[in-house]
Amino acid sequence: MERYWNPEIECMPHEDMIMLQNERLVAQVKHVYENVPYYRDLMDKKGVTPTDIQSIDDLHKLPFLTKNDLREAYPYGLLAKPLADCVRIQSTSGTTGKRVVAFYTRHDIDLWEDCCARAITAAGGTNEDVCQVAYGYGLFTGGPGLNGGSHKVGCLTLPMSSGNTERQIQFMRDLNATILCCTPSYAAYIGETLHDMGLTPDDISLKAGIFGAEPWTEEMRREIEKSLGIKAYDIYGLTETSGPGVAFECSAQTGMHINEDHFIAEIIDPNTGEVLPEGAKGELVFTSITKEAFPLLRYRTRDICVLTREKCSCGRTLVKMCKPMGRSDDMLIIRGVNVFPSQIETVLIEQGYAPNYLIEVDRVNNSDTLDISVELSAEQFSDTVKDIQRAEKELAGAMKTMLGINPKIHLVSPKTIARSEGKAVRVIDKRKLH
Amino acid sequence: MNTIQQISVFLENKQGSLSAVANILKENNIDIISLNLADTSDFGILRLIVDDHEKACQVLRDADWLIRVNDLIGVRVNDEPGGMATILQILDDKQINVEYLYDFICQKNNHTYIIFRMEQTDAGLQALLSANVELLSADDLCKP
Repeated sequence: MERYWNPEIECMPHEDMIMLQNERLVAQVKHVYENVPYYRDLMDKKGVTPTDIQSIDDLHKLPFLTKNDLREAYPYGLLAKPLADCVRIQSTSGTTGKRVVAFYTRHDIDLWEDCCARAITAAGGTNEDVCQVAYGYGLFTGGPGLNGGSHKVGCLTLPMSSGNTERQIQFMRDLNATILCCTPSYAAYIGETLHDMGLTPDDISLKAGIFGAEPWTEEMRREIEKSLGIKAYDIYGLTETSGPGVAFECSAQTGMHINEDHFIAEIIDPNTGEVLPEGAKGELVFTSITKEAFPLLRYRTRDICVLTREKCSCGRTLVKMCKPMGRSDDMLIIRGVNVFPSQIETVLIEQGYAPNYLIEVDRVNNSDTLDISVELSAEQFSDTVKDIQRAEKELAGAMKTMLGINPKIHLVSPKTIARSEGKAVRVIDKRKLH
Repeated sequence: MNTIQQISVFLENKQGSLSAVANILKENNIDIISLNLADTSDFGILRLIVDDHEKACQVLRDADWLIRVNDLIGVRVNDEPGGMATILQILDDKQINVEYLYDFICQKNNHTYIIFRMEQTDAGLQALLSANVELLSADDLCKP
């Protein structure tokens, strides 16, 4: 039987949801206009005032926000509440040194955790469950979000964070964890490790997994389901909108329901910004209508996606989004971490290398690999192996600091990587994720 | 200066790099006196001592090979037990580190040549000279 955390909202008739959204949008636009000078300027430039926004039909009149706006407004430019009312920040891995920092009031944390509670309940979670959270904790939203959702549902929560896989499996077995939350690649790795330890799904009590923060395929879902003996549910979110739980999968496993009482989703043409009709493929845009501290209006996610409102077998009326089918920018998601090629270029220049590089991303045994080929210069070349290996290690360390993940560096001869004459291929993504 | 100039060439670990370098030297009629290849799973360093050092540097640079020139110290050692130990002891006593070395067998006179790359080349030279070790010049290597 399908379980709901908040059936009134999750199964609300569409017309009622629109009324709720209308009311919340009007109030939110007023709140943002009055408290966020950065966005007020954007609205003024476009000649839009809060009174122009009477319903969600007027949403298209509002200006977009992009990641670039978030960088320009860093850190406080988009804050809509006094810092005294904020209780938490979370952050994304940054681009060219500047991170995106999102602020939360108590209310914002509560609604975020509520969204995660819906996801856990949709995956069959109740207060009888033991929920193992193996997403990273800290600035990354994965761990804190699911941890909070798990508390709300009343699960016994195992705040494992990621890594130390054998210990994960030991706790999983000793404490009979029934739900696992982590990135899909880590879930696959846990499955493999389980197998390597000579164990089978019969040796653990897991029944469901909630996996997100990076792209994954249906094939990968089937593999994880088989290796861990579970049903695997997708979850979507981004730090800018709060974190995981913006959308979540139900038992139908045919897309993720968007929590429309908190987030209005639109699909736009990434080139013209024009709103596309339901069912069209385009860039996903979110307007947060309940967040207090960091309420982004018409935030362009850069995820390419399709929305559908077909009746879902789970009984929910919330609109569904498909798995993101690609990006409208050059961002790569590697092991759950957002990586922009420009970050890699910045590190190379800082470390005295030529900004000629080739990024190769692959997925080996369900784990992402990042290989960066870099041209060695005459100054960096030495006749001793240890000097070159030291240079390689220093560069990898600087990359790790910037990107948050460890790349494999390959030093190559000068002038062997194509120069940017027009369209140089800088990134080869072999993962076939979409 | 009693040093020997060595050219190091950066080689990517891919098929054909070594023969490409060999061909450039052949085309320019440069004779390789000695060579040594240090390699890792990712890259290799080809270390060469050649008969025409200046010309070799020129043609390799022109062909876009990444090269580096270092001064090495060559010594003549009696081909008998303890020959090398004696030399290393002299360097150890002065706390001079050897980065790497390779030998160069000379059929005549029951001698072998050892070529050292030291962290501190000048100090190494001083130490060996003051211990009356016979140092080799590039010419000695060319005409053994």
